[in-house]
Amino acid sequence: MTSSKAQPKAASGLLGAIQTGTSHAATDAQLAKDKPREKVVDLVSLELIKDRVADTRKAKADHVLGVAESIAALGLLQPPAVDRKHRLIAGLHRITACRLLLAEPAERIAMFAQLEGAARIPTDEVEARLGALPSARDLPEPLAHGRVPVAILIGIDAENDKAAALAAEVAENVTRKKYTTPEIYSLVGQLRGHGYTEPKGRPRAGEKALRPALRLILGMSEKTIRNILEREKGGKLPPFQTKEAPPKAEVSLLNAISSYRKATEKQGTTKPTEALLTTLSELLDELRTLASR
Amino acid sequence: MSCSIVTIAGRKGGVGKTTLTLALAAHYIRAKKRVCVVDLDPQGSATMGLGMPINGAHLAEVLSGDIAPQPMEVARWDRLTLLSGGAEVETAEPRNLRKTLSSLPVDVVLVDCPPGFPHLDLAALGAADSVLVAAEAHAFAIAGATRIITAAAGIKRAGEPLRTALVLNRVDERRALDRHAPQILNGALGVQLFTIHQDTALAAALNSSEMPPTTGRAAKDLKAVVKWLNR
Repeated sequence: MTSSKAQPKAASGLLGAIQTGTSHAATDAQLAKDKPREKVVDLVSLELIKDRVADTRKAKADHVLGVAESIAALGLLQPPAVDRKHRLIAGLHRITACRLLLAEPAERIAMFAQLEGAARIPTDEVEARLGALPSARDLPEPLAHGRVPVAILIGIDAENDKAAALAAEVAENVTRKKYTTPEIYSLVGQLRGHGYTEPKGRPRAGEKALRPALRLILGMSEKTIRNILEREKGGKLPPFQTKEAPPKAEVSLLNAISSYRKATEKQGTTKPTEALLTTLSELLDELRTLASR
Repeated sequence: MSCSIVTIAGRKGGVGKTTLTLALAAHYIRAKKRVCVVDLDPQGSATMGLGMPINGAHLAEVLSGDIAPQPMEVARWDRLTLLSGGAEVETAEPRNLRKTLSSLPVDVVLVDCPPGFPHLDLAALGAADSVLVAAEAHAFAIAGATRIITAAAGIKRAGEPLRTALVLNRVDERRALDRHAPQILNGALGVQLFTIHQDTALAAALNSSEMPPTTGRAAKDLKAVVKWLNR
């Protein structure tokens, strides 16, 4: 009795599911064809991250120190990019800063001395600023446990395709995380909570200067940062609008690289790409370092 | 002779993919076959069921085609090796998986797919000689199973569509759905259909990382699946 009633009902459910599944299968196939997955953000042990293949550049000491201070206060906000074998593509300064932070306080000075331009920073300033960094276990999570967020570019094997890796590096470097207005004010508040202030004139050794730190994190001009801070102090939080465009020079560079790659792909010649991209990538890196000072 | 690669998939979670994989592994090793379990699950359920540490780093590299597979010996089960699963597997972009797995020095390779992750399912189907689609007698599971069956139908082996069977797990005929489903589904999906009955001893064994029992309803039902696979 129940059986004869139950069967048609069960059949409509199960046969309907077959129809649903069939249509979803078509979507699956289309997605697999259209969009090979390019990037996955994941937490990875810092020790698994390998150095860049052709290390054209060395991490710059002053930049690493600023980044380390910001990471110690706020955590690693922008995941560095790695290839599918966890080889670094973009974010040398961020990764170097993380390594420095995870080292024993006694090892930090020796590690720092290896960086480019470390000798140009006065020893007392280096000692004071390194000494002010928290020990590894007091770092924001997940770094306290030696893990960092990374964007894994799964289509790229940097060892076998250097041109693609360099193009990816350039692209990663101009794509900054977009901070919303509340996020920016929250960052300002957090930095103040970590002892960042706005000293008059050049910051002295051991002093944590708020504006340079914000420039570094947000990649915005001094003028914009001053504007943000004025509004923050005046209590006028909501109306501030950020224009998130990266600096013009970086956009021009990226456009140039993109057009060049397209043109060479059409012609089928790829040989000069790598050397040119290396140069452009170096130029971009230099521009960013200068901008963050 | 090279090994036989069996992919166990289902798309939906909790339909018995891993239980079926490990029950099959136990069956084959008791028949003196050398078996390798490939755990494609970022959660590493099969790895956990075998009492091994969950770490997908090696498998992720194997999937990317970068290195040759070096399966671990499973301590508790003789003649069984494992490519362990873990979170790292999720980000791998598999290449040439059929070629890679064919090189394993075993008789049977069992590829246990995760729930979700269509790209891992597709790679595992591309590697397979036969596919077992795990499901339950329920619309949610059948919708997921149909996605796998449809994808498998598009893959050819020597001009023929990939050998695919639907395995209804945990069947209990006291439930109306379980009683009617085989008849309703038979023919509707165009694949071979097997049922494996609810078997508490099987679940209990895997829960404590022990080998599944040699007797019981599930062990008996499994013989028909193995016969089909060996054909």
